[in-house]
Amino acid sequence: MNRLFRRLLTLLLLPGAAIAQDSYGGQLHGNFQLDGQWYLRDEGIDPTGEFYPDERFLGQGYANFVYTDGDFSGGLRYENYQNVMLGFPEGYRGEGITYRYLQFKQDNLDVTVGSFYEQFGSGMVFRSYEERGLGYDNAMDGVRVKANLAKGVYLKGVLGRQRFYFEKSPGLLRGVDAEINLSERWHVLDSLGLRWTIGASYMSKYQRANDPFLVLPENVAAGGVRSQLMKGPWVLNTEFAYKANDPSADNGYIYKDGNGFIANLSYSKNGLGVIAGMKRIDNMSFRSDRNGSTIDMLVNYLSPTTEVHTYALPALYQYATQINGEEGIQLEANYRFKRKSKLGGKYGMLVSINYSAVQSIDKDYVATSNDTLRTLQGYYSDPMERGTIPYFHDLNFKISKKVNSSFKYNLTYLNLHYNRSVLEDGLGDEPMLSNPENIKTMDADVIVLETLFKVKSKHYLRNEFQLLSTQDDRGSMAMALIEYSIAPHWFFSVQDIYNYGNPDPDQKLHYPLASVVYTEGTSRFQLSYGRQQRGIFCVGGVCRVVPPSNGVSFSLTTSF
Amino acid sequence: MTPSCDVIDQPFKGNVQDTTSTLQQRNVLIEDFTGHRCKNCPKASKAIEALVDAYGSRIIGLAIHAGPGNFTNTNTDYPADFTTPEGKAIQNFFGTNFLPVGMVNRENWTASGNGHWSAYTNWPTLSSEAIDSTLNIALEASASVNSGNLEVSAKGFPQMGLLHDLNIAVLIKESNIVSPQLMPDDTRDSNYVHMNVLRDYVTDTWGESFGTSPMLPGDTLSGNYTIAWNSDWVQSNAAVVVYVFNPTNYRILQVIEIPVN
Repeated sequence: MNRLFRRLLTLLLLPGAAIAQDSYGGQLHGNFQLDGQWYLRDEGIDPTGEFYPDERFLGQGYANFVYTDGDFSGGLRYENYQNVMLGFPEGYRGEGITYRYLQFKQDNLDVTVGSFYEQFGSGMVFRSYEERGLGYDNAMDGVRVKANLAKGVYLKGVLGRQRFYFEKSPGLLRGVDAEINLSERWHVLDSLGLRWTIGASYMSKYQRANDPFLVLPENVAAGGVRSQLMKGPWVLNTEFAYKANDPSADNGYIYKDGNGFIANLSYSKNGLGVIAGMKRIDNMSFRSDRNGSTIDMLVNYLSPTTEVHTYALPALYQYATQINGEEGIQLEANYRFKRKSKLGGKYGMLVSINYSAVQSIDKDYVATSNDTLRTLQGYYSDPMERGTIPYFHDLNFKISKKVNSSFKYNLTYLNLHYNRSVLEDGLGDEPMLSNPENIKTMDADVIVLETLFKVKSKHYLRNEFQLLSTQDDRGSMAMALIEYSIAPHWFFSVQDIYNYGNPDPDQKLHYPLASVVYTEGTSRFQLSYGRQQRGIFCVGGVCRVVPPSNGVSFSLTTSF
Repeated sequence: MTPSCDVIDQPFKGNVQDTTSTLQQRNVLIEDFTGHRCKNCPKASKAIEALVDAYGSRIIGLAIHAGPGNFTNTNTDYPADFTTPEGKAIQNFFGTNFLPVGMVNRENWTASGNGHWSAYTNWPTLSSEAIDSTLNIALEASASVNSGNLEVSAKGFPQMGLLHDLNIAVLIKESNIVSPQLMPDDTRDSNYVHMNVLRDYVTDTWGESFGTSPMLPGDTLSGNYTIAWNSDWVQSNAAVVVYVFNPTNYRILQVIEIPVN
């Protein structure tokens, strides 16, 4: 422990840590990012000026410092928001050290005190993580212990509270997760070509309650079991989770319990890949503050069963996981035609098809007048019955082909159905079932052609042409993008989205954007100017609303 | 389940209102930031109604129409302008840009934090806690319209030693205003009844000095405040709200609502 103590001292004297590297063999690493935007008043995209910030210029950034020395590490992150940029959660106000931790490994134990991220299974019971692009960070502050109890037996325990911007959530989290790799323990499985891992997790939150009307559960628990079975090209993942009564702002303070089930089967061999997945979740909103909303203080993570698109136009209509209930399937198949085959040509060709569909779950609502036992169950749901409200579907085909040594293209077609009432307005199933004629949807066909030319050594030209054709919402749009990069330093980009089909003649607008990027070593500087249209930005089924803006923005990132 | 899980079979509590005490107790001001084009805002208004049903006059609601223009601006469907410069100043100072959201007695304010903001779903808990807390200063006030002016007279009676200065703020609110509101199911209710709408401040938005530290039980603080009465306001639907607060952290120590005579 003396050595550990000396390392601790070294970390506390971080400015001298680099000097101490020779003495203790430790290393200090870090990264830094600064973003800013000077906003310009643009009456075209924001006629009333409701999104035009009073500050005119908004900037935010962060820096991470991590010191490691053998089995010991420690670090911190400083964040600043002066003030938070448009589209990020308003809760980020001010500046300070938001993440700091010390971690050491000893005697098959891995101990972290302070801030940490962790996940049990797929996250249906617990996932603490950061997604900087979303402004999402539910880091734990407390203690985490991981132990390798025996060969193939792993145990994790966490205790702490989640980050809530510059504060902590009011709820306390206590959880354990156990995982057993059966193949490591019993080699007979290994000899049969089976790799089988099973796990179980449990998470309980405590939040004080003092509601004048309701007896609220102060302790709410959730648990889950999971399995991963692999044999040859086959992989089967399944997980089931259950959550006890957890009245919350999300579910309208009903006392119904929640459950979720996900299963994925995949096959991959000889250039053929197939994935089939299904998910059903029922009342699985789980936050460390029962009054939380949007992306605040989520304890669990419900992975999406839809494909995440990165192209700009289909990305305007991304699916966001509906934590109060949804069921969906996803089927994906891709095949790589071999080189020098009839369809593969000289360099081969990748073809893929993906279909995903998500809809409501069956809900038999209990009218207040019929709730004679006054149990506030809210609704009953039969898992064998299908819900009737389509939330989303996406059918897409892709072809990716390298034609010759200097030309490659990707061609994508998508057919989208997007329930705007659910995914934009946050409307619940009950009002939609009552007034189905008021449901707002968006149906679109999208075509994307992406080409990449190698102009000469270290010079590349990338183009995108996108067309989103719809009669709904903002109408049809077309986009063209040209990027020219000179490796390894320069990158130039010009793009324009034209909303030519907008039903409002005043909103048939162009959204031009020009960028230049300079990279030197691990540092990158980007300068952009142009318009950004309103939309929804999603990562992994978690989304935030992005308001329209116009202006000059910059971004500086570096690491050491 | 387990010791770390409470399973509730009977969710409802009984009557919570204490009708036995005749002494003044600590009241609760719920500042409800709202907008007539904000579809979830009627839920917040309903939450205040439910609390008033439970706690009576100890809950004082104040609907401050301030926030993003797409929620509060007027248009042909929503012609009434309920915004006020004072409401906008409060919204800007306390720093929020989404609706509905509120403050309960402005507890837990910090310059860079968000602890003072709460969702309407949390108002019952926060109100219950405030109602159970100790009263530091009792208030009395009267309000009347004379010769086109609203005249408010207020007195304060410290219930314990107060070692910080006190400010007093006086405002006018109006209820029973029929005007369109966007509803949670995305429909427009043209006959929606708006309650507790902030109309104006009689004092400055950030109050005026009411007492200087130290103050002791037995002291009497007083002040008189006047503003021209706006004839557009329906006097029978109007009320005056008087609150005293700590000017260093904005925490409201006591609030009362009085009719306009």
